[in-house]
Amino acid sequence: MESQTILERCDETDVELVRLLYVGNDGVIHGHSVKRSHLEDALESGVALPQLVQSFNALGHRVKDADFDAVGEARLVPDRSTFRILGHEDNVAAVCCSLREADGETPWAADPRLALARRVSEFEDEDMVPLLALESEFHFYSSSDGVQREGDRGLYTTDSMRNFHGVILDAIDALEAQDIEVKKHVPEYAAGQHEIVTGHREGLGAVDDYVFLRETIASVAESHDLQTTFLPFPFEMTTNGCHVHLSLWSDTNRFAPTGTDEVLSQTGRHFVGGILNHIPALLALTAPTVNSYARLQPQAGAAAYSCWGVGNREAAVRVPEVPPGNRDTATRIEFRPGDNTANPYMSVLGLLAAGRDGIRNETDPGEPLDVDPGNCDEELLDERGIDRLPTTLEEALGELAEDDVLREALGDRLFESYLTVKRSEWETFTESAGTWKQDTLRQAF
Amino acid sequence: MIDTATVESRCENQNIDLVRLLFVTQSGVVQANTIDASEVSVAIENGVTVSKVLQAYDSFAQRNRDSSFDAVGEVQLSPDPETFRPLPYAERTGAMLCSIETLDGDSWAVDPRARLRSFIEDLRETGLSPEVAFESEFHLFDPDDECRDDEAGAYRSESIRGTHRTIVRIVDALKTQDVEVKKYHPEYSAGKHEVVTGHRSGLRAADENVLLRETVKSVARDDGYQATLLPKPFDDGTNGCHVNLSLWNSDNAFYDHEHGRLSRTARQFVAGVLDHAPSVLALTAPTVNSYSRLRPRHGAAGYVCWGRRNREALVRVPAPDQNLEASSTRIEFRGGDNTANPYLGLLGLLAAGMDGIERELEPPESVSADPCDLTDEQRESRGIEPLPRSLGEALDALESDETMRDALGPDLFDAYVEVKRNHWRSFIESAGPWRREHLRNLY
Repeated sequence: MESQTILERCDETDVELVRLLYVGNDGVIHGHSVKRSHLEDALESGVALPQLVQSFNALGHRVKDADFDAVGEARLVPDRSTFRILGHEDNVAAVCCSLREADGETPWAADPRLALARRVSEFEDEDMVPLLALESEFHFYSSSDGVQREGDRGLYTTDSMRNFHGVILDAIDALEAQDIEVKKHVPEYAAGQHEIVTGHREGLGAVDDYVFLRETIASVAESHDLQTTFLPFPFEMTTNGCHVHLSLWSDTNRFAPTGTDEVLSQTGRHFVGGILNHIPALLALTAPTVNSYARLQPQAGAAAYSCWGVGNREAAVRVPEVPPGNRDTATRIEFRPGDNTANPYMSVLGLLAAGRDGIRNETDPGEPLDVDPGNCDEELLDERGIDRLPTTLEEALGELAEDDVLREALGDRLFESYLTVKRSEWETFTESAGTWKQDTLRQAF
Repeated sequence: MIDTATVESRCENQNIDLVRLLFVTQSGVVQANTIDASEVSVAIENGVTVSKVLQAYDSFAQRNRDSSFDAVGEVQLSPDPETFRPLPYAERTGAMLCSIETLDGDSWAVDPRARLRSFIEDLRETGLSPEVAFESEFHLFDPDDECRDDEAGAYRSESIRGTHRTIVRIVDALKTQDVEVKKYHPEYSAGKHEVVTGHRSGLRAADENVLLRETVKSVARDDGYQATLLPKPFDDGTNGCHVNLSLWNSDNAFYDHEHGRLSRTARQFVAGVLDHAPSVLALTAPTVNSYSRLRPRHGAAGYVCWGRRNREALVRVPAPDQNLEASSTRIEFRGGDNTANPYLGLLGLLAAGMDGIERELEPPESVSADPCDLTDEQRESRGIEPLPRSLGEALDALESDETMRDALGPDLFDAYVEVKRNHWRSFIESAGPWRREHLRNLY
């Protein structure tokens, strides 16, 4: 989109502030707001940003050895194609940004969004485009007491639909006004838990849409006096995931099978093989907080084992069952052990890199598992080469540190700074061991 | 030699009606059965039946339901008459330390005390006997004061003065039990104290550590205090259990008489301990709480290194007493605490050290500076590794340490690892609610 067009649209809709959005190593959506009067410059050459924004962790601490310090600037440069007016708020618009060097042009080596853009263009060089949808679950809860909303039992009931009809309707309208195609709304298992399913989009655009979706839902909920959380284990007994649906397209769907007795093409199988091959390290990108691992438990509707399956909701990679007539278009894979604490650019980047590695090496994923892996005995799991996924952030980070394919995909600078930031979160958690159950332990010892 | 008859007559003469049979399970918690004095001879001769499942409990008295030990299966406590003592803090009560046997009267392969005893017996065959002293730190505090953190001073200088009488009673009670008290220090942080007991031969030193823990807790309770030996009991204090150790043939094998310094044997022992340090820690610092103490600059130990008089080193060589160099030369292992099972902690330490002697390992250069003051590069070039940062890391090391598996034997090793893994898992599960309010707002 031309700067001029954006400026005109701002004037037509009385936009006073434009939010420049980006997502850091911490997985948090950050932004700068630019006044309409300064927008023209910002749209062309961005705004200055200290490099140390990439050294903050999810606990809000700046990690001192994350390679960035008080000296060193990057620029937050808008991708004008993502510009949209946020009609559900007053006089505001937003645009997704990448981080570039001080010249405003050269990609900054620690920027997640441009790292993903590079990976997508590698597929394009081979005449393939990834088609993606990020499906997020979230909870509404009451802001006053910080607990789940009363008078709602969850359990996929129409009661939940009625309770939340107003806010859901507003959220859907707000999404559609941003050109985000909404397919359905599902009241989920737990009280206050919902999911809004959006349409598939190509490459980077799908991830940008996801960022807007999170912003929009939180914002609409706030206007209904509701808090929103996308945290993987936000309350006891309930979880939020972010499932990534993915297929590769050239003229046709490269994942669609040719034979009627198959569920996935050879390319699709290899892609799955690559994901399963890298999955312990991938989790460090897709489930990157200590909270994430409270969700990734067996038989909790998330995923806990490194297997794939058809219609298997305990498998790490599910191939959704589609009606025979839709196989050419609807065949895709779903990656389940991801959540919304991830930097979405980096989790999708990891998935694409792992899948591409599988295609290149023709990695065989083995036969799909058609039972709940949590009910399988050790022997069967061993025989099938199915492992328990990492049970802690530390374990996943250890795997990531050793994974050269993912290192290369992220680039050294992003890779190293990410590891340092994430390791500091684990470190802070282990420090909590000192006060953990201290009263009981003081009695026992 | 104290035999059954002696124990019986001492019970009678000293007006003892109850005898506590003390033992320590994998969790490190001291456990007891109490028998009537009239049952003492039967207990010594035939043992007292207990459930195997006791070995499966962690320090929160939770057990893994998949454990190899369940409701079915019994063993027997075998009280050691040599350890009989009247307990000065418990009216009309005595105590004995116990090993655990199978119902056939054989040593039970899962019992830590029996395993330490046989390890030391094997060591004696090679002509070496360990002399050991445990130095235990603990805090006394007011159990009713629940707002301690907000009321700085609540357990500070006032309680130091106030606890004087309790400390004297603890020291007296230990002496009455024939536990030699060498020193008593009030420690750096408020409410913290340390009792240094005399050197004893291996097994007895561990037995006396159990008696000390019981004594400190009991006397404090009588005086209206709570005592804790937990490694990180409060934000501003820690408790360690340093182990002082030397090996003796007819003389102190850790002392080089010819040159008047630490012997080659001692250096090899130190090298072995440093080589196995992470897995030794899984035995000597075995709760998640332990690793909040084992941090650089906590006065405990932060790095795998050794040094003379160096209190940040994992192994310190204390200055020997003047003119008593030959008898007082020893090493001090600083990475232990009183959540350990003392039999297992000592066993691990001995096994690591003996492995160093057998393989004739040479330790790296000793460190004379505070290792925290060195740069990462300096530490790397001198081979100074950080200690494990969590129980999980230490357990990973233990599980792949064949020397430790051999020393404990597979049954004890597996039982121990299972209980400690369970404990670690409980902590991991606390990640769910950890900082959740902050994270809910952020994501």
